[in-house]
Amino acid sequence: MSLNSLLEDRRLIICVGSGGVGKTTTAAAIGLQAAKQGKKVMVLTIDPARRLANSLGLSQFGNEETRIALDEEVSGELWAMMLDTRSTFDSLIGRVSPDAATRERILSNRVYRHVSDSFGGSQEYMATEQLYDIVTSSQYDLVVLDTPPVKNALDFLESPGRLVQFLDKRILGWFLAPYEEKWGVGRLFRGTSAMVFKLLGYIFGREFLDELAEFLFIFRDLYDGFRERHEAVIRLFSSGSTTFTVVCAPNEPSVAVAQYFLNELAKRKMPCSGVIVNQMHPVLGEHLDPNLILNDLAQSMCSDLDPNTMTQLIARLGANHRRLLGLSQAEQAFSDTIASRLMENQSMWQVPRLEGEVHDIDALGRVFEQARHVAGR
Amino acid sequence: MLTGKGGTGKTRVSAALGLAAGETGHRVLVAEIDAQRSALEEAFGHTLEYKPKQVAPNVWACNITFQPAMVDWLDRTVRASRIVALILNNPMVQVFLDVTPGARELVVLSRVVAYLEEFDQVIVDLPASGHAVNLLKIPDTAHRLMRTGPIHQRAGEIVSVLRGPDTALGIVALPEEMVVNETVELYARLGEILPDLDVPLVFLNRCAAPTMTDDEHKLLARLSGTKELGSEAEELLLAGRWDAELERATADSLGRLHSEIGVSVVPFPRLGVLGGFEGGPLKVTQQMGGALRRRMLAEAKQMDPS
Repeated sequence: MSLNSLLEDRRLIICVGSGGVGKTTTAAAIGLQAAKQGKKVMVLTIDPARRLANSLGLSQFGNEETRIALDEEVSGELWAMMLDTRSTFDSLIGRVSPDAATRERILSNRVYRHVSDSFGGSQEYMATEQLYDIVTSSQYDLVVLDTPPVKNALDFLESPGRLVQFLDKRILGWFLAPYEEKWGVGRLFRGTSAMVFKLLGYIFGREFLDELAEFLFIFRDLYDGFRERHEAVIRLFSSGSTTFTVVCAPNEPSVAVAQYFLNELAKRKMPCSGVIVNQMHPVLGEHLDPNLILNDLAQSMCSDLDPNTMTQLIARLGANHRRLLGLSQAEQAFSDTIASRLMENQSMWQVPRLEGEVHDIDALGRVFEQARHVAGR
Repeated sequence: MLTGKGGTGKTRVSAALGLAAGETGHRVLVAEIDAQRSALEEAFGHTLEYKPKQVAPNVWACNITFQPAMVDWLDRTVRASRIVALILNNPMVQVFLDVTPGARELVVLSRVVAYLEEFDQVIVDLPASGHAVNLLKIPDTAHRLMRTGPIHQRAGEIVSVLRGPDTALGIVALPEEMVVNETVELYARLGEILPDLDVPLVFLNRCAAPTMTDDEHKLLARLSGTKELGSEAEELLLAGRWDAELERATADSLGRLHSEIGVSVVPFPRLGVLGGFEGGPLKVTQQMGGALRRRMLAEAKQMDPS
């Protein structure tokens, strides 16, 4: 089964995995293949770094939808975009605010400004917001998402929960109680809660708590809206038209991370179609003697070269090949480890390491064509 | 502090740097930051936890996770254990701390800075580039956002340490075009957000020093251009081209890092087999640590020939 089966009936493909394994390149290659099948495709990256542009042969692109030029015979369209935290957050506020005055108050609140552009976690949350909008807008037949490396990829899965949790009425109620009292709308606040609140004021500084309270006070009526949206995002992620694909390289740390992702996705009941093992060194798997194989040919080619050249190169090729062989055996063992952990209905594909780097559309096309189904369904 | 694109080997360079620093007789801590999966364990061949554990003479290692760091932080800040217990047992406070943006990062960074009191040198394996930048911005943001109280003060102290003369950040890279691109971008970005942070070094991992002669390149190209080679010959030549390409990429990357950033580059040769470490992962860390130590000694000798 080719990698094409991954594309069937999908509207959202999410690539996860550790850094440096070709996740971005894989996402771009999947997008290109779908475009070749006539689909209109968007490839999105959450990563603050700009690797996707590199893979697509562009010097850079931003948070605007950018169309990638393809050969004329390609009937589909390939688009790319980097998610932008700040402007997404602002437009979200615009959408959920009841009126212009509320909107302005939120946008000028200092806590909001810092939350929206510099604190950890908000980036991933906003990415899911924007992702949801793009997928549900039906502008694209397929959206391919490239996620950040491991330590933050799980924030991305959990993040809708984090912000919604913040806006949970019980917590808001607890936190805002002393303010509502002050503003004449709340009940009396006493006992342990009052003590703990005082401590928080001491630790974080009263000014911060005051501003945070104002921020939350404005947000408190938005909880239901956020919760509904969070549920919609989770529904989108777990639906049949979405699939997660784990991307890894055949080395120990990357395989461990891939295993971790397979487990986590299963635990969260997220659909996962399997693992793409990138950067495999393709070899015949046996020891080769360059003297026997290349001597005669080389002899005929080096009359104008330094007399030691042939001996040096032949010895070098022998060493290079021994290295390659050892490497490919280790890689196959890592690949087998992953294959043995696949669950029912999951597949594994291997993609050979290409000569040279992948940073144009043609090379990207070859990545997909060379993917081989090696295990699973 | 060390960061760099994912997959460049920051964790192993951090560990190797720890071993090399330990040999100078300093007490050294190598710390991971809030790692869900510890990568440092493999580099040192020891299981690690929150509490520093000795992994070599003079060298300790730990994984600074949020929950115990929070308890430590409250102990330092509030001091009265009854009150600390009150805070920690209050479910609302737990949620508040969990969701207050930046709290997690600040508590963990605070622990890193606190270790400077216990150790002569602290080596931090930061997250990958973009996320390291976000992390390093947090103390300054928190310092401005929380205008009084212990967090304000602590964030200010962390900012001073980051900007101070005893702190430096190294970027770990590979001799690959995209990785060098990202390294150049990261260097510029760090200059924007933390202009006082010293970024003196790039560690270039898995290098191949150029040893092929021009004539060898010519012969390899002629052989590769031959039609209808057998699959065995093709494979040998493929292996040769890969190594030649790695030599070229190493030279290109060194040149670009010198001309586009202008910092010192510390190259590491490839060791063993990628992914399947000959002699085990700890051996690789030790070899890299040894290479660093030799370089340090050579540099010291150059500065003081007597």
